[in-house]
Amino acid sequence: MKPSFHKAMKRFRDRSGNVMIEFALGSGILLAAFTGTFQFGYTFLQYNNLQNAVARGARFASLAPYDSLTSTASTAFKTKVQNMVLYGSTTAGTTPVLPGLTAANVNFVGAFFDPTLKIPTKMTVSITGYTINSIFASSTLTNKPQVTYAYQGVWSPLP
Amino acid sequence: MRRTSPENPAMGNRKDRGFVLITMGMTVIALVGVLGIAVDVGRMFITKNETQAFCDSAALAAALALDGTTVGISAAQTALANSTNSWNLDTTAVASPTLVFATAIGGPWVANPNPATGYIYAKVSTSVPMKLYLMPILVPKTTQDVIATATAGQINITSFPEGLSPYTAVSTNTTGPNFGLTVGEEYDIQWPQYNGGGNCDPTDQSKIKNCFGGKGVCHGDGLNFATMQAVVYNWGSSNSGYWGATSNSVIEQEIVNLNAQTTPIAVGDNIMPVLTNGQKQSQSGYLDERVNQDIELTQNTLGTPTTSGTYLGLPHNGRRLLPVPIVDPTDPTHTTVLGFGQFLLYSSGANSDWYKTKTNGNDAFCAVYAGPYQIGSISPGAGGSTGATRVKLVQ
Repeated sequence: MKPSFHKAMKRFRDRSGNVMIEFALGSGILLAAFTGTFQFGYTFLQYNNLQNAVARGARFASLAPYDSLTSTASTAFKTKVQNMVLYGSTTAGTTPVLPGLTAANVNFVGAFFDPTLKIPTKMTVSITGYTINSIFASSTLTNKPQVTYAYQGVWSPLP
Repeated sequence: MRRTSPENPAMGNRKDRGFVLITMGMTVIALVGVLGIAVDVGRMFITKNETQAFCDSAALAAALALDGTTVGISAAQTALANSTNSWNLDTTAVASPTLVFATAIGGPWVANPNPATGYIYAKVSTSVPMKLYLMPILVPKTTQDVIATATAGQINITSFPEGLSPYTAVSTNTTGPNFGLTVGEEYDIQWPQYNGGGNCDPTDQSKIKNCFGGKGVCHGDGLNFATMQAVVYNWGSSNSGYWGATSNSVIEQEIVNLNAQTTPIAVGDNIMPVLTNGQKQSQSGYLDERVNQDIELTQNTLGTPTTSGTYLGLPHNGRRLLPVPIVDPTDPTHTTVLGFGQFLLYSSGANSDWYKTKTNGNDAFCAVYAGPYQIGSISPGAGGSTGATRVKLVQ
């Protein structure tokens, strides 16, 4: 064989730098996979926590004495429901169930049968304006999660 | 000893070629599995909690509607149909949930019991097909059924720390849930002033009514010799069955809001020490105030949900129903709480002033026995041994 052919074959078989290329390609895939796993996993975990917190708040609202003549709850009642969502207690704590979650994010609506029946029938709690920040992406929630319970407390309309 | 390429030692064994490809392929499969767990299994947990919230809410609403009749069964089914909680990140309504009923927590479970007497448990079940996005790459499934079940029932209450009105009904019958009282009949929730003179003779059934002043006792109590004897012998002129405050503002909270009760009342308690004379004129005004918060002010016949022209048969919101303890005055120092019940307050129509105008001074306060008290319901419950129930999740 001619020496020039040997040189060409040698250059073709030279694999120096392959590891770096493979690492670059592989790490890209791995990074995307890990990022996606974290992002979805964290977002769903936080959403699940919110779902439980909202259900807890709605259940409390359905049992607590309702003290308003209209579907607009009193400030005291609303605060208790919000605290139940945020801290798992009717009194305010120091660490909410999710970082950055505030009372402003907890939306509470008491529904009456209709304007004529004048008593509460349903209590709905939802989360709005809260952003789950999973570092690589974020999701802002609008009226979700949302849970409704039929009211089964004692209506106490006097102040 | 490991062989290396004669031309380039870094090349390694020719038999190792393709090893990285295989490794990467296996790694990618594992990564898809992990990502699938993060996405699909993560959603499964959320879906499980969403459907569980649906079942919990629907089961409670259904159990709250049960009243021991087929009308209550229909109302429970309507309550389920009106459940608004959804799943799939709150985007999809729960389709085809099932609702069954039972008289005991262990079943048997029936979809449409008739007669419905004693049915106090409601069970809601659902199964939603959650779409899988990544797991199908690894397993031959495109959906996963997520199942949830909740059971709620009307559970007996034996004690009220708060929530009772400051009146009593009297009975010597200790068997709940009605303690010998007849649904639809009127009874004293506050007894008239005792008057021992004249033709009063507690030993004579025909004359014992004369032991009470004013307009006498309410119709249902007038039929019950044992009840009247218990009151005459043990309460006399000292008590009327009222056990609330004497301050007007507190009386209003006690009657209208039911949230100013200062003494817990439990089955078996002796409430003799808390019986007082009260402020009868103030009380009558607050009873009328509560009556006027109802939207049904025309009917004084209790009826049933299917009887037109009755309180329960017309749209109402339950404000005229007053929960009270049912007591047995056993001796001059003991008045024992047997259980609880709820009574329909009388109305004279729009802007009712029934109690102000018809209960002059020491007259009896009469109300119609409506049956067992169920907290949070606008109608009587199915009943229990104590005459009072609260709907709770039991499973």
